[in-house]
Amino acid sequence: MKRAELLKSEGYWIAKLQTDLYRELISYMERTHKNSSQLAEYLGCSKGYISQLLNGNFDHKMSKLVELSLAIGKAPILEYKDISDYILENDKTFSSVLTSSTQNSKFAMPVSFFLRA
Amino acid sequence: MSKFALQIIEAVEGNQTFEKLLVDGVAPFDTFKNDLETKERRSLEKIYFYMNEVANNRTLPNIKFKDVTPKTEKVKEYEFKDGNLRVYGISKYGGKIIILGGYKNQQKKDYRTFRSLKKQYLNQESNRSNNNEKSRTTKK
Repeated sequence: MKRAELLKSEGYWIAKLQTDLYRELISYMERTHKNSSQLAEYLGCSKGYISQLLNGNFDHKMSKLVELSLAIGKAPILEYKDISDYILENDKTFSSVLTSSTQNSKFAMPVSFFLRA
Repeated sequence: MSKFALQIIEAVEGNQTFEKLLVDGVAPFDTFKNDLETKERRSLEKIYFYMNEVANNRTLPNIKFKDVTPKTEKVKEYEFKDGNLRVYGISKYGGKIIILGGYKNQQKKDYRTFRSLKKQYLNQESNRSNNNEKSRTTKK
């Protein structure tokens, strides 16, 4: 699969939105020192529902997404960009990262590199 | 004996490099992708997203990406997961090597194949390294 193909795929964007929400919830739990049971109580949801959210599996109504976001003190801003422009931008960003990391690297890896996590 | 090589996974970009293992010129990960049922395509796209996040050192729900290394193993093993799909990989300095993919209901068999390929590949790399070391010493 090519990079552009991936960026045009539904799965990529669904997973991105789900993971973004997961990260916001984790950050909220850390900020407010709440565990998942306390979060469920605060949001008025079941523990099962919270565990679904924390597993990055949110796939419900847009109204629920807005409700959850506001409840954790976040504005759910969704931005629309032309996909071709987005792919181009993504390409440029990665090329610059690659160039700088290539300039910084000195030698080829030793075989022992597998033993480092 | 099989010959192993690595090839960059172009769709994944980030601080970490993602490569796929080639066994005699064929990537088991590609075979898995090519044989995938249409209804599973979205799960695969999601797994690519998770690989991308790992490549950029971003956190993910543990259920989507987890360390499955047995206690006795030195080289880390990982599993990416979405729906019925599983993708297995190992760590290397600066990134990950994707070894193969499979379905949830074939996990036992896939783990055996994954660990066997991992072992063979690491043996090949270890032998190559020893040979290089020997030839360097001989030249001196």
